[in-house]
Amino acid sequence: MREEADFAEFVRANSAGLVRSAFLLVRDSTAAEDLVQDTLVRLYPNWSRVAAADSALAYVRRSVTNNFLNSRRGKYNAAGREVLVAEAPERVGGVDFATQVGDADLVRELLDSLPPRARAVLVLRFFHDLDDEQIAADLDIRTGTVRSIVSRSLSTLRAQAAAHTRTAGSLGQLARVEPNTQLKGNAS
Amino acid sequence: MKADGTAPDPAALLRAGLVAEAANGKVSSDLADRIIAQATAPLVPLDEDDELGRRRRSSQAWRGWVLPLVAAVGIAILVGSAVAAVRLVSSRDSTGNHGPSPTASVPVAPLKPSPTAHTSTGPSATPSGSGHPSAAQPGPSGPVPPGFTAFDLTWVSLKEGWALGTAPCATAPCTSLLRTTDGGKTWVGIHPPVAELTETGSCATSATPCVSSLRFANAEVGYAFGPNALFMTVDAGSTWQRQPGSALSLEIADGTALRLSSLCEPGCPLTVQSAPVGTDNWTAKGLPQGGRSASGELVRVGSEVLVADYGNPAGGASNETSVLFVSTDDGSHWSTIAEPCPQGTVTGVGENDTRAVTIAPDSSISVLCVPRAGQPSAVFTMTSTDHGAHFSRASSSPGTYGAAVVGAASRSALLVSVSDGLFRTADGGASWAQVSAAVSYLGFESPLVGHALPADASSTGSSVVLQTVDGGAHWASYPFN
Repeated sequence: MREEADFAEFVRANSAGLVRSAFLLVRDSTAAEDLVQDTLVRLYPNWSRVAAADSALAYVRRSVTNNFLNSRRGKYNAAGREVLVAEAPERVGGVDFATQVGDADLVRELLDSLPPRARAVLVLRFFHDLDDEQIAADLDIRTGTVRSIVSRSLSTLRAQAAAHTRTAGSLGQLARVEPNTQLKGNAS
Repeated sequence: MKADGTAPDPAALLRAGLVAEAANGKVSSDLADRIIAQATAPLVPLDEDDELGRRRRSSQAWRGWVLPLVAAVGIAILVGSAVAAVRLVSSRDSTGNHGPSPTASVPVAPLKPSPTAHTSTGPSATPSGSGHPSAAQPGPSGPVPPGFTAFDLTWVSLKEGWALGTAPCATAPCTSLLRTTDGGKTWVGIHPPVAELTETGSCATSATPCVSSLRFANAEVGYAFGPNALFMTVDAGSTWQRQPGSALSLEIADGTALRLSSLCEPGCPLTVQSAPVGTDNWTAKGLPQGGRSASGELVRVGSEVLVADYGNPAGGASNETSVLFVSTDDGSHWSTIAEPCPQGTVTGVGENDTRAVTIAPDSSISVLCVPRAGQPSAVFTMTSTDHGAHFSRASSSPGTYGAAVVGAASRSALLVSVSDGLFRTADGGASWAQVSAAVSYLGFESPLVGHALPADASSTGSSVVLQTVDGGAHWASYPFN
């Protein structure tokens, strides 16, 4: 009963965060929920092992990532699907709203263009801040492979950003926002 | 892209972009509940369709050797049924009140109480529960006595439980005991101890032992207890052995039974004793200070134990508040917690009494606070997530005082039964919603699965059992049959 209570407490505290992280991998909210639910249900029979880990959350996050990569025929892989954004991102700090939308689009395009393993590497590296060695251990790949993926991805992103700067610009990004959206800050 | 047109650091851009993109992942509000429900769902039997399909798929494999076995078992069942029928008829004839006849117009007695001896009396009724197999030896069982009403429930798993109650009978005591192996959907009768039920018997002055509550540790070992008696069975209810002393509360966990009792009543100190499950080796677990209580209660989840030493909230001296004792090691060591319910600065004004306590499966402690008589009667809950060191008051009230029943599925999911019904909060008491009529018993076997007994205005127990599988948000009613 205690184990069940611990599990329930963990799920209530972390399932939302895990889904948002999984969303970066599978690129679809429903598929992300399925991935997290499936992973946690699989882990529950051995929850004492999870709870005994240095970080139960890291253990589960690693399991989610590997479940995503190991799923056959892209069970959870919805990359390429159109992602609907219900709410425009709010202005943060001194960043121009239009610039932020543009950056998010660039990252989205990059994620959608990458194969699952490379996507997982980027998420672990830049969203969860794991170092190359941890990522290599989690995904059972060589550290050199991790560094190669990161390097190529950053180059791609740099090139995309440069291309965007030349062809679109801030006004071009603004045109993609819903016309009735009330923009905050210096969006003009 | 920065506003000045220079290229941003791609790593920083990626970090910020991933954070923004992750926020677009939508999370269903019931996702956590779904995950918990799926992960912790009991292994239920295959439904008929699945079972049929499985049989069909495997039919070729068993046909060669199972058919002779089935034939042999069938013959054995026929012979056994005939013998049991003869015994049942003989039994009815000899006692006159031993078991219900399917066609009887007048309700008759349940299974007779078993003698308090170690020897089994053997089966006294047809095994009507044969369709509900158990992993353990179920002991003798019979049909549910007509008119059965329950006063207490106990569970050893999400599926296996017992109900203590009474049913009309010709000769007292009419105490009855039922057992279920399917979560309360169907029940069979088993032998109760020879004791009155406190709600129906004259316990205060009679030498007759009285029981009010029931706890089982597993399919074999159980305890029935009350203010002047304690019985134990180690053979699934075939026989009941009376133990020394009595118990106001008794809870089982970690292989031990802990009982709370009073050496005399009222006004004697409360005592806590522990014994390995199934033994009579009771040893004292001393509380930090002797109570002088009119009543007390012991609740337990795992090694966490809470004893509520209730003061005299019925109108005694104003300073007679309750005291809580909390242990996190099965009663070996105790911490004393002063009355957690707030007390007014002026004597008798704004005073609140702890009237009920509970521990949730996540070890959080919740108490039900009830204002003293003559004051506004809106009850409220207080919850502690640090073993009673600090309590937080819920910001709203579930209603006015009625039955003193509180149950908790977790630190944030509480249920309180008051006069107007059973109310549930999922946000730690910020808001309450009615989920059922008032109940007299409430307990959770897991964060999601719980059972309750509806409060009956006539005080004759409950004829149905309520079950929830979603932490108390919804309840299904099953009759005792």
